[in-house]
Amino acid sequence: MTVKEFFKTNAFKCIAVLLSIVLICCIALTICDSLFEVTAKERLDRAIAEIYGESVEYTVAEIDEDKGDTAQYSIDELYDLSGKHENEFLMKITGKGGFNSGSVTCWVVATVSPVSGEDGDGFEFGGITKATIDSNVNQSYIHYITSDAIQAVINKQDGDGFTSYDTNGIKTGATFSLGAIANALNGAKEYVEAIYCGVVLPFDGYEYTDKLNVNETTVTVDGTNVNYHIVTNHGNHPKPFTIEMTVGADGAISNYTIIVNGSTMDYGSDMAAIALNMNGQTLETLEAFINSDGIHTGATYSNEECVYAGLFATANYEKALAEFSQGGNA
Amino acid sequence: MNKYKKITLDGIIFNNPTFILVLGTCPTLGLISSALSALEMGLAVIVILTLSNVIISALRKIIPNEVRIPCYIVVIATLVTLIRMVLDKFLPSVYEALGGFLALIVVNCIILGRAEAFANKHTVAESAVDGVANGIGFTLALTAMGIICEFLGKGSLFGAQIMDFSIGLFSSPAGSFIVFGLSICAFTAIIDKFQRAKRVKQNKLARENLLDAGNAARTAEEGNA
Repeated sequence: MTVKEFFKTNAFKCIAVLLSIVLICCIALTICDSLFEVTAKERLDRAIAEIYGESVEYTVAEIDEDKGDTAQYSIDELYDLSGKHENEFLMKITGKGGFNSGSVTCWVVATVSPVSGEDGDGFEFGGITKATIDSNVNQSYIHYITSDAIQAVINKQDGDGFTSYDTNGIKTGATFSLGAIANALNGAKEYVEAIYCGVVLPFDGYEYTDKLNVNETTVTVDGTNVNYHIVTNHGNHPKPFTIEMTVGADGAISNYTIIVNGSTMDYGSDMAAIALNMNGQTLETLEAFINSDGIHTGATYSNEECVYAGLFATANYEKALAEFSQGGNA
Repeated sequence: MNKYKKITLDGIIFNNPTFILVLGTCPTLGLISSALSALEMGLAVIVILTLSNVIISALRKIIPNEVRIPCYIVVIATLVTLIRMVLDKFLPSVYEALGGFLALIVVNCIILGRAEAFANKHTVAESAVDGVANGIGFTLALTAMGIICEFLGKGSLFGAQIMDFSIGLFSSPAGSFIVFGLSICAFTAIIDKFQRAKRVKQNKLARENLLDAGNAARTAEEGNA
């Protein structure tokens, strides 16, 4: 077949037509992308209009790298409001741990209140006054989450933060997505407390604290043994676990007892087996296990909470021994 | 019957894409727990279906048969992306409400189905009418089921709370599935009844015409005799 003949074939026509259509579509999309682009400024103005219904004065605040990105949340943008919204912070924050390993990005307004103390004047966390959804990744049922559901999560804040799962009676049909939103709200609270209120969280600087309720977790030292009373955080699927654990001088877990089983389903017997399997585990074996992608038990999230509790206990043995050997308790 | 009227009635009623052809089931089950989301999805589908039908019909003599499906998909995906951009820019609340289902319109069987079954065989005007009619049929079906699901599941209509009583099941995809199934039953039964009645009427007319013709022939014979 000559070149001339090839250009007359149906195969050439097919390729030419398909490529032409693709090219035209690409050009059209490129033009429209620049025409309909929603800028970051527009998104911010939308968020402000939705939250306040008016324009507000703000300055861009710097985000602390260490506190601004954790396993539960990451802060994308932070604005310090002024004028009649003094002491308010507008944060664009992404809550992680949503459905299908996705996330939900929210605009959150956090407030601080001035307080006077012995150490001088300062601020305390005032609360979250408003939160709206900006965008999401992989959250198919995000439309189930209404502003009322978000407000219900905000209103049910307790001392430990915001919870979303059915311990709170909030049912949306998008449990994981609401869990990610709760993580965003908790992130906003933690960040404002740490940066603007000077609150130092218990176990600051310890490893594997992401899945822990650090306010309720306690540590005691008995000789060379470190005894942990660990309460996991709410997460978005299991309820909190309470686990008692001892780590000996060899760095291995010598006692692992699940006091409160936070599994959402009837996995009681499985939990007992897991607790038995945790005895004798060290930091190395647990890290190898958690990184092996081997947890697929039918209660994966619950198992992860239990393994991460073990990782916290074994990874921080030396640090806890040194810090709490005087009979201290976090 | 006027061909445009027939195309319209087919799209909305007799070949309703949701109830009769059972196409576009994914967004149907995902979105009918809210009447407003269902309506918004329906409107987006009307626009995309009409535009895709028009473009594909206009290009039907250019696109070779062997590559027609990839070409349709490229056109549909482009239109869906455009609609997403427009909604994100001008109607962000609708864009957020529809979530991932907006992008899934690309693989909505109704769009590709109408392109393949109708647009590539008919004129641009006919294809446009078919797109609008099928889109309306889809929108009406989704909105009707959305009203039922939202009313039973949340006690509200288009977001406005009208009663405290609600059945949580109907807010979930399982409840949507039940309502979808029952709606198909009800719609099919109504259409079936209507078509039976139409057939009976046509048969009666035909019989009467036959009798009239027979009588006329007999009268003519008697007259001749």
